[in-house]
This record gives sequence, structure tokens and C-alpha cells, in this order.
Amino acid sequence: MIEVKNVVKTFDGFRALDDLSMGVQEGAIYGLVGPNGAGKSTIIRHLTGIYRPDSGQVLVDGEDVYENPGRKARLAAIPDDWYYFPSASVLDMMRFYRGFYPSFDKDRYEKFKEVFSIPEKSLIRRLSKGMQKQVAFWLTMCCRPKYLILDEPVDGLDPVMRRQVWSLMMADVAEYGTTVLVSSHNLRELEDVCDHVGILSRGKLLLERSLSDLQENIVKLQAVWQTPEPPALPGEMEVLHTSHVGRVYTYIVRGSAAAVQQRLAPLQPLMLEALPLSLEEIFIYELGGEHYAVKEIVL
Amino acid sequence: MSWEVSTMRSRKSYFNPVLYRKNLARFWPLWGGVSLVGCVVPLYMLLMLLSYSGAGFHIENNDASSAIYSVVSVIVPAGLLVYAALCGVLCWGYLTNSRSVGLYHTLPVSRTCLFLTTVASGLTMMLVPFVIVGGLSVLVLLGWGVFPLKALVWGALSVIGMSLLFFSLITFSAMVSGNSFAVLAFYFLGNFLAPALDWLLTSFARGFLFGVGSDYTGSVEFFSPVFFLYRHLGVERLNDEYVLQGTWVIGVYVLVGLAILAVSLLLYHRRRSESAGDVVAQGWLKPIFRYGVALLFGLTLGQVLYEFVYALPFGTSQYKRMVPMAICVVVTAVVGYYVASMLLKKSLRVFRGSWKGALTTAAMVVILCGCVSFDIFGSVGYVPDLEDVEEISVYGVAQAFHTQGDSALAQQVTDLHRAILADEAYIRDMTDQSGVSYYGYSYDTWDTRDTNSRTLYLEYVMKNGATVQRQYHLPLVKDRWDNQPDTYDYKLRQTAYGPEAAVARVTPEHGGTPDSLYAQYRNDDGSQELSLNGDAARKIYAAVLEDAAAGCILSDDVFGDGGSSYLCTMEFYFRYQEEGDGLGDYHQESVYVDLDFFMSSTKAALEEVSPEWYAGLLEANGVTSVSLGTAVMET
Repeated sequence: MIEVKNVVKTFDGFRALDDLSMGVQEGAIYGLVGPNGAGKSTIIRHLTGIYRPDSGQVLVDGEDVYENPGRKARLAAIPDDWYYFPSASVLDMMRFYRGFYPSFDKDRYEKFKEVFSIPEKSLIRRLSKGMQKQVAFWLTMCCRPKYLILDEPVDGLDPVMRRQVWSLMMADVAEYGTTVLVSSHNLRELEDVCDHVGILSRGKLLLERSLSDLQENIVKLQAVWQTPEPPALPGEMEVLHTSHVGRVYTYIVRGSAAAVQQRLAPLQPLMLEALPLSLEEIFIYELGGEHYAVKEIVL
Repeated sequence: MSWEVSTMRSRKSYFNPVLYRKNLARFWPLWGGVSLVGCVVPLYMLLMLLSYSGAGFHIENNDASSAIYSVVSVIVPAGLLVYAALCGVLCWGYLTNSRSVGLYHTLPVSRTCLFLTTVASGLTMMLVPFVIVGGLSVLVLLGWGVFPLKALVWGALSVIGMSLLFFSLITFSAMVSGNSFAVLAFYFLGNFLAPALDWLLTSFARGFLFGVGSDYTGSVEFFSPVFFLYRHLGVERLNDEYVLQGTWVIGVYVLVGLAILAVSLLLYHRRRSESAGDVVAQGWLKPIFRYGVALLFGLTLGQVLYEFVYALPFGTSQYKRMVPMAICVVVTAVVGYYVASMLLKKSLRVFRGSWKGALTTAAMVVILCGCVSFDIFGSVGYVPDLEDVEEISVYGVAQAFHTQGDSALAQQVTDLHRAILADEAYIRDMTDQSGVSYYGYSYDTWDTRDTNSRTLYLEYVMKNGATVQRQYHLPLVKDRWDNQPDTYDYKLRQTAYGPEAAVARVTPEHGGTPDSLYAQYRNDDGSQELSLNGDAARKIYAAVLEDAAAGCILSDDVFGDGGSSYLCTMEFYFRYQEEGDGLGDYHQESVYVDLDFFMSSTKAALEEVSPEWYAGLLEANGVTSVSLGTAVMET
């Protein structure tokens, strides 16, 4: 299990992580989302042992990961800006990784040659950005990590290769119980693969739940009222957003669909329908409360 | 296999062979290229030996030893200084890039392991060219039946020691900086910082302080390994065998290098990965860097600015003026402060809210100027206690002389020193009036028949090994010189031109009597040489001592009419043995004596020992029996 406890990290007076706490259960696929500058890459660099927190703890299987080779051997990461030696081929980098990761699987490396179709003797710097990303995946997956940490993993990959990569990752989760923490802005893709989500904003975790809990706890209601003006909604209802087109009013409300519909029933709407929210909509409406709403600007 | 088993480490790892091999493989163009260039040495040696072989030339172990020691003491220190910088920048380059530092620090190895492996690969890269070039050179020597084992061992140990030192220095630089250019700048600046600061501070102080006579003390040269190595390494012939001098220095530097590596390892553990790309990677070093750069700017550019805006247009004094100098130093130091801030922040926008730092910088350099100007350490008025003095050397007036700290002459020198200090205001006033420049050159306006000037240099070697140097440009007035016993003019005449000083001038440092004498003069027939050995040389030398004790040696006629009574220069050779030298191994020392027309005892001795040569000498100098008689009567 990965545990982050009250981590604070400051860069030249700027608090990039502000008393951040989060946890990733074993076997989970945890999607870390948040606006630009929220601290996603910073917490990932803590999780991989690159950064040392100013205060707080970053634990992997109960031990601090910083300067802990034993724990770091269980982790493999693909950062957004993966580094390779300028004169290295895929084969060179494979030998390098194999020398450090005790669980490196050479057979798997050979099998993945067919999947990625990149000549192993080609210089990585000569490959396209997407192919370099494939090489990163190829080598990282061969490390057979217990924890796979990915920062914008499919950025630059074509749709076929995206699906291929997610499928390989899901297979590892299913077969070996690999725990995955993935940070991405592509919420539609995350929604398909993640079972847990954490939303990060300004160095703090806004919420952390299983995706199903998250989707059950926030609902989009469409209602048509008997009068042109909508009635006042019950005061205890937490409405995140309201909009209307003609007499059709749309509400984003925190709570389960059944409970919310039950509360609104006494107002006798002409029509009341509950719709599920996508992860992208949840992200937008949750962050709306954090002053990160889409601004309607007329130019 | 479970995760716990597959990732379990039974013991801590301090070395990673994969990283070691990777470093050597990645940077082979550097060590391979240097090895290739170095192969010129054995090739040159081979060709030379082949060319000499035809002429019946034989090389011996001793010749090869001398060559090896020469390379070690002359080429290796400077070569390693540069080569270590290249190796270090490549090996530690991963710390200067956020992407590469991310990869390395994600790897399941400790920082200690990364550090030790990188140091090992760096040292290997440094030594490989020596192994290749040295190995080929040995093969060439073996071809001629020569194998100087002792020199090879000492040479190899010296190269290893110096490699360790220089690589530890570049490693330290890499630990305190996250930018490759800054790493190089810190490394080279660090190697020369101590003597540079010595020179800057001493020359700065010299501008204010009366008599502080040196631009460079050399007291901190140890902190500049290249300087110190060149100062102490050398080849010496001892008991018909060449030896490498100064190996103890390398031994000390090996210990220093190990200590620097230990400190660097600690710094690596403290270093934040996010400092990749920063000029200064250690938080505690940032204020030191900021104010250090300000101070260096103030001391260097401040003095340059002073010369341009004040000294050249307005300054006529030997000494600098406090207020204009302080203004120049403050301005340039504040500029340095902002330059350092820009480097640290990697931005030009450093002015907002920085007035406190700028003010601190200004206050710091004003205090420095004040401390120097007001001589808070009392160096101007300091005259060493003779009990602490080993030897005093006096230069600048007539010939130099040296005297032991416990001699009567030493007492006279310190009395003269005190008299000069007592007349500081008078000397400053007189030199300013006479237009004596800062550098101490006197102008014609001062050099009349009744006035003159001399620059006196005093050097005290203290019993603890330290030296105290003073330099005084002294205006001299004939009336004070002849008639006023309390003035420094009079004391200078008594001291530097008295019989004790004359005897000291002709006495060799190690004492004794000469083994030989050589002198020559030129006439129409060419050079006429006199070469005497044994008793004849000692007889002439005894006469010289007699003349010196009688005060007849004088080669600097301060208030004279410019006429010369010089006849020729005699060179006496003395042999002596150092303590601990092998039997029969002697060193030689020379004493030069200008034969003067009035040195009657010496002339008589020369006439007795070599009458023909003496007569020729007089004739060559235009001395006839008539002029000789006139001179004797005048005397």
C-alpha cells in the first residue's frame, strides 16, 4: 500500500504540497487528477523517491520510500519526461534497467518486441515522441513492479497503442495484482480504467474515493417546474451548479440520485430525471467550488 | 517469486557494477581520446631512442627516472587539473538535469552507492590514460633494457594521489552546484581562490597602509593545490640518484582529497534533487555565494574603477584615498550582489525587496574599507620582537644583506624600522610633495645633490616560519643623513652603509671560507679571467672581509656626483653540506663582491697573488700611477 501522510513541499516559498494525505490500496488503479500546477507531478516525484518531503511521510508497504532501495525496487515509474541516455538504444537501456531491478523479466522483454515493433538496436533519441513513450512502457513493464506509477502515460500515443498499453496494464493488475497510480488529464480514459480517484488542487487532496462512490454521490437532475420561476430547493441540499434552458432546469447536486429525487418530490415537478455524471463533469463541478470553474468570457 | 523475496537485499550495496560500466562506456570518447593523444609520448620516446642509438647513446635507469619525475612534477599537475574537470562534469552531469536526476534517483540504489560508484568510475577514467601511456612507455624502455622500478612506483603513486585530489575537488564543486558551467567555474575558481584573495586583499591593504610592502604573501597557497604542487614538486639529484621532491605534499593532499570526498558524500545526501540546473545547489551556500561574489566584485572591479575615476585623473599620492575608494568598492560590490542574485534566481527581476541585501553588502564593504584604512590589526606600527625573529633581509639600498635575529645588526635594523614609523607623517608628506607615484618610482624633481630617495625593503623571517614584509619609499636629505642622529636618514646610513652591513653582505648564508674565486675584466685583447682556488682564494676573501670591516665597500653613493670607482666583480664559491645529506654530497653558494678602487686590502692581496692580472685590471679601468697617487692622497 502507498500512504502519503501530511506531506508538505515548498519550492522557493511556494507551497507545492500543502499537508497532503492520500492512500492507494494494493491492487487498485488510482487516478490522480487535478488542474495544472495542482502538485500531481510533485507528489509522484515523492512517491518514486526523487524528492524528500519538507515534512510528512511517503510510505510504501509501511516504509519511507526516500533512500530506501528495497522499497524503490518494488516501484517503477514512467515520468512525463522520461530520461534515456543520449547515445542509448533500446537494448542499452534494457541492460541498464536489468542491472538495477532485481525483478526484471528478460522473457517478457523478448515477448514485448512483437507488441511494440521497435527495433531494439535503434537509438532512442531518433524515435518519435510516441515511440519513445512506447519504449518507456516496454522497459518499465519488464521490471514487473509491484507499484506502477505513471505520469501522463499515454500522452503522444496513437489510439491503437493507447488501447494496447491500457490493456497490458490491466492484464498485469488482473494477473499479478499490480497497483497502479496514474496521473492524467484525459479523464475519459481514466474513467474507463480507474477504480479509485483522487482530485488534487493547490497541493491538497479535495476528495479521494472509489469511482463508483464518487459517481453515486453526485447527480445531475433535470427538472421542469409548474411555474415559470423555479421553487426554492430544500436548504439542506448541496447544489454545486444550476443552469436552465427555457423551463428545463439542470442541477448538479451532491447526494445519491434516489435520495435527491425523494427530497424534491414534495415540490411536485412536472418532470424530474436523474442522470449519471462523467468523471470529467465531476472534476469540473468539484473544482468549481475551488474557484476553478470555466469562466464565460465574452471577447 | 514474491515481491518481498525478489526485492529483498541481504546487505547494503556501496557499488553498482552496471552503473560503473555504463559510465565508462558512455564517456569512452574522453578517456579514449586523451589516451590516444598521450600515446604521442611513448612514440616520441621510441623515435628519439632509435635516432640516438645510431650514435652509440646508452640510456640508463637514472635518465629514465629523471624523465618520469619531470613529467610528474611539471606536466601532471596542470594536466590533471583540466582533465579532472572534464571527467567530473561528465560523471556528475546527471545532477544538472532534472530528467536525468529523476531517473538516477528513482533507481533502487542508495545515494551512497550512486556516489561511490560515480567516484570509482571517474577515478578509473582519470587513470586509464596513464595506464595506457605509462604501459607503452615502459615497453619502449624495456626495449633498451631499462626498467626504473622505483621511479615507476613513485610516479604511479603520485599520479593516483593527484588524480584523487583533483577528482575530489570537482566532485565537491558538483555537489554544491546544479549547473555544469557553474560546476566548472566553482572548480577553477576554487583552485585559485586562495592566492587570488591573498593578492586582492594584500594589494588593497597596500594602497592604504604605510609600509605594507607586498602584493602577495603566499601564506594561503596550500589551498590552491596546483600552486602548491608546483611550488614543492621537483626533481633533485641526491647521491648520484634522481629523486622526486615534495612527495609529502601529495601525501597530505591525498588525505585532504579523502576528507573532501567524505564531505561531498554528506552534501550529496543533503542535496535536493530539485536543485538540478541551479547555480548553487545547497541552501546554506546561497548567502555565502551572494556576499562572496559581491566582495570579489568590490575588491577587483572596485580597485579598477578607482584607478579610472580617481587615481588616473586626480591621484598623485603613493597611497589611496579612503572615501573615493570606499565609494568605488561599494558601487561594484552592490553590482556584484545583484549579479549573484540574478544567477541564484535565474531571473533578471531581483530588485524588488532586495534593498536590505544591497544595504548589507554596502555596509559590509564599508566596514572592510574602514578596518583596512584604520589598520585595526596594527600591522603598520608592528615591528617584530627580535626574540621571535630568525633572520632579517634588507633590500633596495646598495646590495642586499641578511642577518640573524640575534645580531647587533638586527638591532640596528629594527631601530631604523622604528625611526621610519616615527616619521610616517613626514615621509607621506614629502613623497606626496615630490610626486612619488603609488608604485614608488621617484621623479627627477627630487633627485638633486642634497636630496635623494631610496626604496627600502625589509623582510623578517620569524621563528614560526611566517614572514613580515615591509616596503618604504624614503626621501633622503643630506643634512639629516650627515648630522641628525635621530632621523631615519642617519640611521639608514649607519645601518645599511655601515661596516656590519658590509661584512654581512660578503658573508655567505652558510658561513665558511671560499674554495675558489672567479673574476674577469675586458680590455682590447678580450676577456681577461682570473680563477683562483684554495689558499689563494681564501687570502683574497680575507682581504675583502678586512675592507668590509673597515667600511671600504660601498657601491651605492647616495649623495655622490655619479662618478664610479668600480673596477670589477669578483665571485667567491663556497661549498657546504645540508643536514642529512649523504657523505660527499655538497651544495654550492656564491658571494659577489664589487671590487672598488678604495678596497686597499683586497687590491694589495690581488697584486700579491696575481700581479699581472691586477696590473691589467688597473690599466683596463684607466688607472695610471699618477691618478693612483692622487686618489691615495685624496683618500
